[in-house]
Amino acid sequence: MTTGHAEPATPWANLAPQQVVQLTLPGVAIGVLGGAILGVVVVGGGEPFHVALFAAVTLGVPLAAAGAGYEILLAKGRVPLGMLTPVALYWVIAFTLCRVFQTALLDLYAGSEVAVPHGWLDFLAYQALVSVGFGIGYWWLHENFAPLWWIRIRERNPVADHFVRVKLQQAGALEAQRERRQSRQRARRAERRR
Amino acid sequence: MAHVENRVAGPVTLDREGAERVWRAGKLPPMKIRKLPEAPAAAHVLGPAMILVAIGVGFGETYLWPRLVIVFGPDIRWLFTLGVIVQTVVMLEMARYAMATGESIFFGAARVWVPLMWMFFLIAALVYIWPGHISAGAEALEEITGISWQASATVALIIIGIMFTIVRYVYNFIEGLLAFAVGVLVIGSAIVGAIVGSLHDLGVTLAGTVRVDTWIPSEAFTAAFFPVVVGALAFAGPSGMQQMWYTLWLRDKGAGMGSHIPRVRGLMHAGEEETIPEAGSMFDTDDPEEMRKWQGWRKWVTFDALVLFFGITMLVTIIFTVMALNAAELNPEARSALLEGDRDAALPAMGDAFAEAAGFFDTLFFIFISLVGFKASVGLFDAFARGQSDMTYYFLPGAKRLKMAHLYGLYLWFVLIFGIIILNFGPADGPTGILDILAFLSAFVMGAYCLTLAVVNNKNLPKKLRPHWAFTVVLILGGIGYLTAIMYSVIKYGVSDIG
Repeated sequence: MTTGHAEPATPWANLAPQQVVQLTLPGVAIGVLGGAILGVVVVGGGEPFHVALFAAVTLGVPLAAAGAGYEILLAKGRVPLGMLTPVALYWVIAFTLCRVFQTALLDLYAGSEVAVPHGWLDFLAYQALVSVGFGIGYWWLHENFAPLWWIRIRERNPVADHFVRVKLQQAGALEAQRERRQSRQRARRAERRR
Repeated sequence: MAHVENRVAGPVTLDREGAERVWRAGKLPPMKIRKLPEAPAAAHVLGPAMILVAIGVGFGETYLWPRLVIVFGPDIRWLFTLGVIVQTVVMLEMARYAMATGESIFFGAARVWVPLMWMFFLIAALVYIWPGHISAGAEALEEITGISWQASATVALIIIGIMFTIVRYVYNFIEGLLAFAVGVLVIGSAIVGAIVGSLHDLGVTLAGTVRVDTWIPSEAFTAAFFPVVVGALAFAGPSGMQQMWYTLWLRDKGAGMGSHIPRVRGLMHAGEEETIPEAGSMFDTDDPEEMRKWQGWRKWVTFDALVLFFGITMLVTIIFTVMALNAAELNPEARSALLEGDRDAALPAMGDAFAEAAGFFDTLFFIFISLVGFKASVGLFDAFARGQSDMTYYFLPGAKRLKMAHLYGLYLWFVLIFGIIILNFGPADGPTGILDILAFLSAFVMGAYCLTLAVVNNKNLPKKLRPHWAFTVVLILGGIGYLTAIMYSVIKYGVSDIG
């Protein structure tokens, strides 16, 4: 679902490193949440704490890093704000890579050869398909909660301020786009009549 | 979270003689013609489908359907797809009425025939005062932690009551809370599905989701399982009266003409409540500008229905089916236990099946069931109080002496206190028993509201806003389907077999 309008460039170039870190927080938090969910499930299943911690860290850290990557792309204006498709496509690649990384580390940790049950092709295809689910969950949490964070830091972060303003203007921009389309259609009809 | 903040009632439209222009539907007070607000950009403001998903994606997707898949295999899943498609159409049609008028579907039903509305009032009172969801969630929590399910459910009920009493705007609060719960459920499902499933399981699940040629397995036509299949069909997506309550959330969100009705406040903020109009309102359907705005609202709700509602419901259930297939493959004994039809053993048997698949799998299953149970309860208690107070306020003589927030608080605390009494001193039916009865009754009310909605939208709305004939057909067939299934179950097997 797109609005189709071009969003103005973000003030990314003016950011200090600390401001970049601020912007990555929503993505990092969702990645860490993913790792934490796995950790809770594993420890709840009676596995030793260190196993649960290892499972959580090996998934949570790459997911957090990938989440930070997404936020940076967003801050640079490389991906549009609020759209589901780019988020899902990003995570098809990022989530699959995170799972490969985690599986390899788990095998190495267990002292066995790096391998997957049904072969790598099967594994990669399956991970890519399931990753769409993760992408939707990421988009959902991001759309619901990231704006609250941006509002909080907008006074001291120009990109966050930009995001808040874009969010507020999106409805208006859609209207303007509709109006432009309608006036073009009216002009074409008038031209044909002449 | 962005909100549609447009709470100005706005002037009514006058005709040439200076009289107020109105739209008449039935014998109840006419709807004044007011301005339709602008719709938000689709995909940028999540609508109340989020709440519908939050309470709708629950036991059906995580428990009842995986259980049927373990017993009958994935080929039975086409029934789930059918159920969700019907529910998507119902959602779009519920939204049509609520956004066009600012009225709930209960009010719409009353415009057709007032006793019809009171029937829904009674069904809600019969079905939803039982704390079925929270007790099942609490039982799952007991499996993991050992904490008595009565204790955890009682504490949860008290917390829910306090939360809804002290917040200023109930909707904002519930939206934030449930948005987080759904996010955790979706992300958690995806992660665990990625770890335990395989491409083969996913392929079989997806094939079963769309293959209708497999029909229904003969083993399902038994006294033990046919009612469960009917209940599971009713639990595909939002069950029972959730879709009807969706119209109240739409109104509180300020969707369409709902923006002219004040929002429901928490009991502690009842004094700040604005004057509530005696009926909803209508916009000028002969004005092209108003119709353009209407199309915007339809686009907004369609995005909600297709991406959030249909997409997330299918996603969660596909992942849980993959997990169930994995479990059934590794633990054939669980299938036998479930086939024997011991309902009280169903929840632990499902846990055993999942435990066989992976060491932590049963814990995961119980965590999700617990999350689903508590999350659903938050939404359902709010919805029950919201629906009953709406009907009471508008249709019980003298009720308008109270504020809507007072009535809301009254119903909320009534259902919570009743729930606490039942949980601790009521008939020890067992949580799953309560849940199955609920599922069974849900099918009846769903049939009734499908047919009611078809009449309401084709009778109460101006011609330009009425649904496409194909949608009306889906509503009628859906209504007949739910009612036929429930009647067949009663006549052939007897209702008592359900528990």
